[in-house]
Amino acid sequence: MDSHVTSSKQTALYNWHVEHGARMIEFAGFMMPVWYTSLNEEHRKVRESAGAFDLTHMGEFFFRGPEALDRIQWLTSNNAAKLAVGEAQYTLVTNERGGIRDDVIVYHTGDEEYMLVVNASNVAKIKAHIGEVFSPDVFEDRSDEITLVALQGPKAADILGKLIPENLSQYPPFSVFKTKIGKIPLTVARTGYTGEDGFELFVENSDAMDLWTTVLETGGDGILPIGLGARDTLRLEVCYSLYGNEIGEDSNPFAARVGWVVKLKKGDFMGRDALIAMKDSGSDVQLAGLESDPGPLPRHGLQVFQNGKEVGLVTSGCLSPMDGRRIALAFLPNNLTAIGMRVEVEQRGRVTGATVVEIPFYKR
Amino acid sequence: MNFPEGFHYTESHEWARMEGDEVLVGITDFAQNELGDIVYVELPDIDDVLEGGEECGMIDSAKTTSPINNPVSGRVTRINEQLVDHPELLNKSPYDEGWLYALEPDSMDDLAALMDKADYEKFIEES
Repeated sequence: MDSHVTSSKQTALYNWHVEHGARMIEFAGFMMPVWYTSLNEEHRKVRESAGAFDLTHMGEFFFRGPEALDRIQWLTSNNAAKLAVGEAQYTLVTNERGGIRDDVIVYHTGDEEYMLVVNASNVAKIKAHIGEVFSPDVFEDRSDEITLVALQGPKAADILGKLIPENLSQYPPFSVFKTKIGKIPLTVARTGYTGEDGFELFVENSDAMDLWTTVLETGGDGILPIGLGARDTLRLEVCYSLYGNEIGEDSNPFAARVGWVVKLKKGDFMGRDALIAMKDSGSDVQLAGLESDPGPLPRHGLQVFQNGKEVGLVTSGCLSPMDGRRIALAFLPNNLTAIGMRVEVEQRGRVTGATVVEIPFYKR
Repeated sequence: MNFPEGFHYTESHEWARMEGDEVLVGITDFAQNELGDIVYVELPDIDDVLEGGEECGMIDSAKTTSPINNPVSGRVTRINEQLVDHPELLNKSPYDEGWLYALEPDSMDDLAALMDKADYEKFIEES
């Protein structure tokens, strides 16, 4: 399992990860670190101090020119017209049926320039989708040339602040700007997937190692490299959607708790008519938070029962590294989503009780 | 990675060894390393009668859930109660403090059908 899969891509930081003992897994066609020493330790480091993530497997698509905004507006559900240069927003790439092709962040990086950051597992799909809706030459896919390093945690701003001339207090969440660390040109975005303050740093692959080691050296004892394992538990504690778990092509965004980025009044966009109908008719199910009783952990794909009758599905679950609760997100019928409702989760024939609890599970 | 002599190993990365007239069962160093931080262990009950190869419990790591496959048939005589509050013993001490349960085996000969240290090391290298 540790063997290097030759068909998988390696990021510019691959050798560093291996040399530092990372456990590498194949994910979305890349060999990526899943943890270095301990998932739980890495998770807590991000909540309490800072962590650095190699997220180079994510995709970066650039739209430029006078029609860039119109194209982004057609492809996505949030209102990108509200973005000034230097601002970003969470949004959905929708399909004709109002389902979700991907959840992405749109960055207004310059005059008539937008960067779409897409999930690693959806890079090829979204590329084909845009090519089909418009044409392949309306955007530039720079995914293979750009390294993405996330710097996340309460100490992230202190660390980055030592490296760049800008005063970070002037850059609120979801802002984006271009700067330099020494001679390294980079794009800095105050975005992330952990629920903590933090930044996503985009550089050319040739500068990746320099950036990575500079960030880690500057952070000193206050920072650790973080694998994809802790990335998943961090996002789950704060209930951020994971594509393929909480959301997908057949999703109803209003039931999946991402309806807040569906702006039906912004003008027409892909799937808008279907989304209007979905919003009008409502959904029989909603995404809700569960805390299960002592026993096996509730995991992605497990069925939820009430009084022996199948009623729902767990989308994600883990043992919260912060408070040790067995937490999960699950689609449940509307009448079972009230706080305190009791259900059961079945795992390999073993039935464990669970209670509907408030989400997010963790608040800063 | 450490695989002690005198232990018997399964392809699903459990170990078994004789102790008096009992067989002690656990998971290997390879298994704990693959799983990462172990956060919960579901063990069989005392007096459960288990077949060789039967799924008899679960191990939750921070990342995933994996079954425990019973190495040799027999009756469960003891379980490692310490794992309830300290599942991390499986990571820290997979061959000693992190043992899972003890069996009264149907036959000690069944142990011989499992892999020895050399076979298991070869199995891991080839898998």
